[in-house]
Amino acid sequence: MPGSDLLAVVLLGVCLLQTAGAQNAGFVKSPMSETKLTGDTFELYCDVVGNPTPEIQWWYAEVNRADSFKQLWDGARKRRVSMNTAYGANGVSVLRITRLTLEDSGTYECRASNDPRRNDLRQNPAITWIRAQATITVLQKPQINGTREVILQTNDTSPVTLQCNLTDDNSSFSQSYWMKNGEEIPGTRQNNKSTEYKISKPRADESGQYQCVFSFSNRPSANLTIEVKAAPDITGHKRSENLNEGQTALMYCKSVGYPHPSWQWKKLNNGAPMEIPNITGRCFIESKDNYTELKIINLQIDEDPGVYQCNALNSIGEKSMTTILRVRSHLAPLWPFLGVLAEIIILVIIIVIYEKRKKPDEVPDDDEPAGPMKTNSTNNHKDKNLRQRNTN
Amino acid sequence: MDLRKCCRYSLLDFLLTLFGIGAFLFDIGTDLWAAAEFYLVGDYYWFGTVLFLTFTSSLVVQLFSWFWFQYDSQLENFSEVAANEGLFWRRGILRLLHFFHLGFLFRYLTVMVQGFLVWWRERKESGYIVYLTHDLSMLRLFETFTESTPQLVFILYTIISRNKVEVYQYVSITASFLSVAWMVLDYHRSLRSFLPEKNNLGCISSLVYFLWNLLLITSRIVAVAVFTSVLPPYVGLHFLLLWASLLFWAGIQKTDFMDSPAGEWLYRAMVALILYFSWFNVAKGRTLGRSVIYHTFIAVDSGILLVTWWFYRDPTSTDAYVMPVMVILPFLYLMGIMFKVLYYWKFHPPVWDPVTEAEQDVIDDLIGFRSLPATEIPQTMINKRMYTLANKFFFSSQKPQHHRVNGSSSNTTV
Repeated sequence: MPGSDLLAVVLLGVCLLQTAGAQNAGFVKSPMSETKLTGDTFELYCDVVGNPTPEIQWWYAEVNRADSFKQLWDGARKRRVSMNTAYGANGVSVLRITRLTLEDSGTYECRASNDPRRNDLRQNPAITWIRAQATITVLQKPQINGTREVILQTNDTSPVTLQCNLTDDNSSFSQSYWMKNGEEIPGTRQNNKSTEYKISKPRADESGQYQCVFSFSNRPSANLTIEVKAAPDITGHKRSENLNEGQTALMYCKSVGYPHPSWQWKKLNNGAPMEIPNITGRCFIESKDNYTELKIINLQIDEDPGVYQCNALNSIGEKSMTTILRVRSHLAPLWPFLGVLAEIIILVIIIVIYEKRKKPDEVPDDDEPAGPMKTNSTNNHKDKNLRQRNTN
Repeated sequence: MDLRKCCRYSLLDFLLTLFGIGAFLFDIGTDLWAAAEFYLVGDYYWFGTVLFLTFTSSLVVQLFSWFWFQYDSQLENFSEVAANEGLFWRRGILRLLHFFHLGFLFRYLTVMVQGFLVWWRERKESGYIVYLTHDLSMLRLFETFTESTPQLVFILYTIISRNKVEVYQYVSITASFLSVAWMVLDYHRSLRSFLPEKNNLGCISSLVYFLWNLLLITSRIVAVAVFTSVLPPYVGLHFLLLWASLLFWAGIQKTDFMDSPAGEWLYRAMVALILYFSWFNVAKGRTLGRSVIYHTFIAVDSGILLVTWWFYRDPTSTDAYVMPVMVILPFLYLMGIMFKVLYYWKFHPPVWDPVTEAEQDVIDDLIGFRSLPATEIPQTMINKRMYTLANKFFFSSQKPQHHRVNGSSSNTTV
């Protein structure tokens, strides 16, 4: 019947269209194998493209048990596993496991599929799902013994020694060195399993986060973090600031010391610190780690002058420094210039009187020698006479 | 007066000219280097100030040099003399040189070349060189006051505002102060070179002259510098006010130095600038009164500057040196005045009085001096400007009594 033929053709066309628009899932980025130490964290990335957007799952198989994969979920292994998956144009998933143990070693698999029949139990997953694997090896972190925390005292000048001792009989140890605040300290590399770092002069700027790092030939390096703390010391600040009315005052304090202090600005009133009155909203404070800034815009001569104090406070101690702010009024240059004008007027009057008074005595000597070439004798006599007249 | 004696150009003069060129180039070099430093650090205002000072000083000096070349070219026998002495004189080229601010250097080089020729060919009469040296000496004086003195003020200001000073800056500032006073002394000696030997400054006289200028100029510059440190934008206003009144004074004294009105007013502007820092006598007649007025005025003005600094300074950064400065500066000024009085009392070389010379020859020579017959011109050429100034100072400032054995202080000249 022509009607059913037409319907069959239309249905076929729709089906074809559907299958033509669909695109099989494929990996843009697959997870990579890594070697980690116990206590560390690792992350695996998986990026899949396809139309419709594929679904991503994570599966895990223990070492040498490649036949029995188990699925992972967010919060597994006592909440050490976290999975973040986003489905947009692509499907992206990040698997993150913290506080690794030796049992976390194994094969991790990222599976993706956009096949509508993928969850059908009658289907073989090997056909409907695409898979990418990564092997994670977790090695025992070497035990490092050492000083944990040191507090530098300002009045104590004896040198401080940081110690690290590697207790690990693994023979792949190669080098050890020290780092401070994330940067390697030059000249500390050596081949000893037991290493020391001496701080000869315990000052505030010697404090920070120190790490002794032991590197190995076939596995990632291990380190121990030593916190060297000290009370903050303020190294940079302006002792005084002189500005005109209406200008912007910028007072700052810089400190050294670890841990980073918390800053506070106060205004001294007869020697007693008190909060900065910010009624007019012209004060702005910005603090960041070892630096703080107090900005006052549109200075007013009756409110703002005074002594300002920046205070740095951390768990060990505190330090403060003061800055004197002076505000000059708009009329400040007026007074000296009144004096200058007065003296100039007096000078001009005196000049006029003096020069005019001399004039009747002087004969204007206008015929100064025009040049050595042109005068003749008669002129000279006249000049001579003029010259003599001048003497009276 | 022995013309030939006055116009001798010796090896010493040649070496000094050489040294002068070196110093001038070194000065320009350090100025540009300092400007570059400011630019690199980001102090754009200071960079602009240094460039502005250097440029305007160069411009003024070139203008004077160009005017003088113009006037010289209008003299009757100039082209003959120029050809005679093998001088390089082509108007177009000179104009180009001056446009590119090379006129001053050109004068230096001409002096050097001519001086070398004199020495090499052992010419006795080198009137033209002395002529050029006089011009050069005056131009150098102008250059000193348009460039070195404002630079000094500026450097002192930067030191005060940064509140720290490097060792090399100590050296450079001392050298600058000494060179300013030296330039004034050199100019004065140049003036006196018209006179017979015995009227030139001896060693001790030169020293005293140098000392009082050094003291007065130093105290003045330091006073301006500390004022700048508290009211930086207003020092310009202060300068303009004083400069205008000093220009008025120069005008009312009716200076007559250049040959054209434009040149004359440029000259008066220059004189007013010099007067802002140091005494400069430009008119004939008794200068004692003018000197007294000037020094009192400057003392009062410097006092106002110092008091302003005292009240508006930043105590925390200046407390260390405020008392020494406030005490020493007036003291230096007084010492300078004392040295000046001492100079005019004891060390002022006798002013030559042609009228009292017994020999008639001298008077004739005097007449001859002022009206050289045409035949003599190629050999000796007197610089009109220097001559005019010297004439004003030494010939017209005479007391009723014509006898003068040793200059007394009542007959003060520059």
